[in-house]
Amino acid sequence: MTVLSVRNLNIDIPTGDGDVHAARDVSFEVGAQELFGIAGESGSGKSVLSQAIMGLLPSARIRGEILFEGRDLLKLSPRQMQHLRGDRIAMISQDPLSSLHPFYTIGQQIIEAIRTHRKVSSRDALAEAIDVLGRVGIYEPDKRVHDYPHQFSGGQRQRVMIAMAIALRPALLIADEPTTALDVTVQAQIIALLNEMRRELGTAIIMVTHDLELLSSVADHAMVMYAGNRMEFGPGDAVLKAPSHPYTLGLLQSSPNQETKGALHSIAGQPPSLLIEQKGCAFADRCPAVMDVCRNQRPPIRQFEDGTHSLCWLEEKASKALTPAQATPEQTYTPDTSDIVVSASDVRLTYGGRSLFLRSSGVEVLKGVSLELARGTTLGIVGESGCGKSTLARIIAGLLPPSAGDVAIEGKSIIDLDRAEWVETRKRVQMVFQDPFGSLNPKRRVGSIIGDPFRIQNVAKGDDRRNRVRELMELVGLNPEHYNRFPSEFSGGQRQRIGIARALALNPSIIIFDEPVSALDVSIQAQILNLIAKLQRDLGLSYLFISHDLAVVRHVSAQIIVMKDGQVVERGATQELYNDPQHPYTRELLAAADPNYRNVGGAPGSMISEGTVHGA
Amino acid sequence: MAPEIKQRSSFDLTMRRLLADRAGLVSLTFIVILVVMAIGADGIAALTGHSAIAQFRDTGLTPTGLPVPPSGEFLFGTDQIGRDLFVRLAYGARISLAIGMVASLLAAAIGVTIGLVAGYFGGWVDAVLGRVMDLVMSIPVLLCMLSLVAVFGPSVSLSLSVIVFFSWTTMGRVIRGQVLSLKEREFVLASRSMGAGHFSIMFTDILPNLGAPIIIYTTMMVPTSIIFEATLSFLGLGIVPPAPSWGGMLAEAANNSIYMFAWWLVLFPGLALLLTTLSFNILGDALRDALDPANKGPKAAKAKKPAGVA
Repeated sequence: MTVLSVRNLNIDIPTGDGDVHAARDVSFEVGAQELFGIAGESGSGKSVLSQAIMGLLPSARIRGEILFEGRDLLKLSPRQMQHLRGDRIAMISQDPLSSLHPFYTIGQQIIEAIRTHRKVSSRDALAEAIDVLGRVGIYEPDKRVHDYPHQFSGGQRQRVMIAMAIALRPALLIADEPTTALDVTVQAQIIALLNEMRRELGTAIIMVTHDLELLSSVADHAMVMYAGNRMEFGPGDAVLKAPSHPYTLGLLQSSPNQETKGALHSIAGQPPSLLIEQKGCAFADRCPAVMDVCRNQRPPIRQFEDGTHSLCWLEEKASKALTPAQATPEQTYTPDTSDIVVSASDVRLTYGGRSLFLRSSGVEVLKGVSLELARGTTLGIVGESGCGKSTLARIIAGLLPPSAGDVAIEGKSIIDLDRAEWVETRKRVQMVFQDPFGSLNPKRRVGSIIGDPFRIQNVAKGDDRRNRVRELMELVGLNPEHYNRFPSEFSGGQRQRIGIARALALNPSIIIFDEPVSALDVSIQAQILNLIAKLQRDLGLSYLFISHDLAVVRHVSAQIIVMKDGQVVERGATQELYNDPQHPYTRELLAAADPNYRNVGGAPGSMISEGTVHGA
Repeated sequence: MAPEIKQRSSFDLTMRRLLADRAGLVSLTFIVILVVMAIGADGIAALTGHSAIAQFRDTGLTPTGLPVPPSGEFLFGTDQIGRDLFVRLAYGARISLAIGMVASLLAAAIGVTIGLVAGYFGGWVDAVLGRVMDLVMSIPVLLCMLSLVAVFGPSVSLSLSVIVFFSWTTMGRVIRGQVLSLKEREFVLASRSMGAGHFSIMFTDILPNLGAPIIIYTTMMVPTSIIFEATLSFLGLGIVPPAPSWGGMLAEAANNSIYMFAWWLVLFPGLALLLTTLSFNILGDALRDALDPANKGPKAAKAKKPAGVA
């Protein structure tokens, strides 16, 4: 039975700069109990689509049909939509922290949701809330129901959000990036929970995500969006295993996995601006199989035997038509591993020793971490948020003094340096930050940002400085003519290049990357990872590479350290660690990061029970 | 730096938003007219042939010695000793605007510096400066002014100093709060990791990002300062007569109860004061709407997101 059927949907959103064409001729159907995945990069229109279904785009011009249980949602009055929302169609948003009201207990919030739509006594509603909390894996729901949102962890909050959403047994649940804000191990639990709920309650789920591989394990049908177009549509595993559109293929090849070695296949270029009316195929400029017709005429929808549909001029599936891009085998570059450039020994950090509230015991963020980085190699540090990996990076970078232990850069301790020595160290260690938006001063021009190290260290002036900045821009693949632009005029990937150029300015021997690609889309991520690898080969740099994403870390590093709660739980050569993980936490991370691993080795059942333990 | 700039994005957008705000535009026009009047006060005096302090006993007063109402010769009428109200208003605008702007600029400079230092260094520096701000805010303004005038006698520089002394704290607090959040941003950390000193971080990294609040709050401080000056003059603590000031004109009208008969003596200076402060406040609001990303946040983000290639 079809619950939702979207036909030829076009969405235009008027903005100050003109109309944003957020969706173009998008059609799909979602059946009861089905888990339907919508994948796409940022700006692909996937979130706008879900908002259109919820009726949350009042200013947009929407053409087409959205049939839900036989009624066209676009023809309903705002009041009728209001009755439908929460009752028949529910939504889970990306950030469980900001979607729960901090002032009310979760019980009150669930009860309010129930009583808005059903005439039941608050006692019955409370019983219902407890029941539904139990279903989503909250331990002792009868007690926790009276707790406030801040008393729950991130994963538990998302469980509460799911509980609230399914409390009224909606026919359709829209989950917009439900796991993006969560740690990888928790992500798997939430996906498993959603999967279980739809079977149990018969709810159809639309899952919007940027993570194609995440969809592969659960989605019955998947749709890949790009610049407002439905590029590909079909059964989940068919789309993932044998993509029929070159874009899907490119996306899959861009994500690092167990097989990838050396340079990643990346999709060149940037997504188009949605302000421009597209004539031909939106992907034409970046497509490896582009033909003349692609640029002038809108491609037809091709249908293939395995049920996939592709918006493309190619007559056969991209996975067959295009020779699978062979990752260029890397010339094995063997650096001299005996030369240790960074060594940290028993680094400890305790916060709040002399706190205002006279708490004698501080919070131990790092509990004795040691590591060694050999010249010209990459050491990966993996762990979830709060494990202390970023703190460790800042200590090694000399930005934060450790409470105990020692850090030596090229054999020289960096603890307790005087100002002049410390400034001198800056020439040897540099950092690249996670957030390409936050790490660049929005009010300064790119030329001055990249020239900052020269200005601060007083090494080059005037024309000399300008020329060196231009060289750096070229080195990282930026157009030197953009010297005078502001960071806001660049995309996320380009901004990360700016950050890398700035870090390279002083010719450091060591660069610390703190989650350099986690804020980027997959296709852009591959470009940046390739750039990072190329710079290492060309300049002989040593890297500390920090990430929560094991697949990315595994791709770039020779050695890996796994951190949990401020301690190193496992360390070793990448391949050994991957093939034969010793610590249960490493196994958990591996399972969460790699769907293949999950299918073969990981037991999903164990992860759900893990959730109940977390709930305790 | 090469002058060739592609700055369209921020400045142009701000201007466009500002020009789309009708109330803001009307206020801006009024302020511009007022400024022109203040600057051209000498010209107005020359044109009408009436100086600000000249008394026109023959034409400016009725045979019974009462002020004459608005007419062709005296646009806004005359006051109780036969002076041209319109000319005096223009000169009063000069004083009011000058004091309002100079005081708010000085107060802004002090507030920004102290807020920046307090917010950036934190710790005991912040605690001391915070207490200083509390102290300033807890002094009764008029009492303080009365005693100062009693000691030094009224003068423009004294009024100015008092206004500045009592108005920088608002700016200081706002800036301190902004700096507290700005200094946690990663670009500050990035600067530090390149070896930048405190001075460099404060002035090249943090200060440029304070542009919007500084402009907004300085604009908002102008009307407060003008009112402050008018209050002081009204009480006879500010501008010394016979020099014209709006507050002084209102005081003169009130002192002799002459306003019972000559309504224009109260209406025009009062209206000038009201419209000026209102205009500056509305302009401040319009500037905030145009400059402050927090107010237009969600809309701008949505507009940018699909277009922003990531």
